[in-house]
Amino acid sequence: MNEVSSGTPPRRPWERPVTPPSARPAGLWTSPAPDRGPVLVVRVDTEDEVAASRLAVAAMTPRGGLGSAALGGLVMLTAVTAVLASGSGWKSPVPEGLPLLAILAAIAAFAGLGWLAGAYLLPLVRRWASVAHARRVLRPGPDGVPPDGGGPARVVLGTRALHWTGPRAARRFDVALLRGLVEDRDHMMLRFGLVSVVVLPRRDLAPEQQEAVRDWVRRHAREGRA
Amino acid sequence: MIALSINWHAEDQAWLLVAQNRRGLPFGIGGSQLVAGGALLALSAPMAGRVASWAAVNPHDPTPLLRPPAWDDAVVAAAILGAALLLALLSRWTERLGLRTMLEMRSEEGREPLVGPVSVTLGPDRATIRGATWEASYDAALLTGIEEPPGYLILRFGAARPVMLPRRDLTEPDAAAVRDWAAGVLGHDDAAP
Repeated sequence: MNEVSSGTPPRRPWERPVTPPSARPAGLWTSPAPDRGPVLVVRVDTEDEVAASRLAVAAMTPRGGLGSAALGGLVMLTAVTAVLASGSGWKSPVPEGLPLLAILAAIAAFAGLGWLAGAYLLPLVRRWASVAHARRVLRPGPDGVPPDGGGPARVVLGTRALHWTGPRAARRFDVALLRGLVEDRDHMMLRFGLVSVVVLPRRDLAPEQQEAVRDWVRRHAREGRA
Repeated sequence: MIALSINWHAEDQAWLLVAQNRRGLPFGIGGSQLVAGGALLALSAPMAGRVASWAAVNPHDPTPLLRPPAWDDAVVAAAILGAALLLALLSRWTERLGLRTMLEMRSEEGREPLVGPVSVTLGPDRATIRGATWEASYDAALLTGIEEPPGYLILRFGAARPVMLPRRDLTEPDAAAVRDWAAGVLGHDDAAP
């Protein structure tokens, strides 16, 4: 607040120049290291990685139930055609028009069921399968080491690249690889390339930092929807 | 210090992704969904038959709706389930093909870290993997294992962090050096009972 009163434009405190980690292993950062941008500090545990894996699967599969609605209608249409072809349909003394209405209603009902299945039930299955799978793959080793060795990781949303530097692992993705952002209640997930992701738990991010992440993605993502 | 220059191809990565995706499950995630969808369809087909023979014959007479299950229902359901299982098994190949195509497409546009030339440096306490547009490095102590499926050497820094080394890019001394490096890093684990 006092920065505003002193007349300077409001400074964003997390945007400060980044000094390269002091004790960096030889040969680790040969790229011109200092890069400016918002700095975040996150702690990613195994559950976060499970969530990231679920989000990635969800983001890669199309949403909506139009396909399965069409399939449901098609199933009913096939059944009706089979009944009619067997020669038992369209007999008197059925009142005029009623079978046609009933057939149309039945097709519409099955299309509706198909839509429900495609839009709600199958995504649940997908979610269950991806979580079960991620838990199996990611369960911590015998010594309980979390992914990338755990510990607080420093994430720099730089002008050229995203730098992720933890105590025991580090990675960098150039902004050209950035594909987009996926969010749910507890996580923000940056996608790079087809399957590479960087997950940022919301509990470690202040609201303005979350906005900085969105802003960074808006500036650099080359594809519309994540 | 071991320095290797390797080249990741789209088909290598597609193979690795599908293998990774299937771990611990009979099918990958896509396959599980195919089976679930097939089960739904197998359930709905006998229902659809009953509704059709009610609606198309005589909507005033609901008896066909209440027809007890019969052999023909089982045949239809089994046929649908069988087709779904077959598709789920085939999905290993179709997924691999699809991933490969997508990876190739993205790498042509320079947006894919998983494809292209990569330099791998295995030092005494750090492993660094560097591509044209990205970089990753791990404490050597994070190495959890080395795997040798046909055609590849895979170093794992945790189950979900594989580093793939295609054998075609490694000379025999290279491969031996990588094995020695891994054995050295994992050594203290082996020494423990």
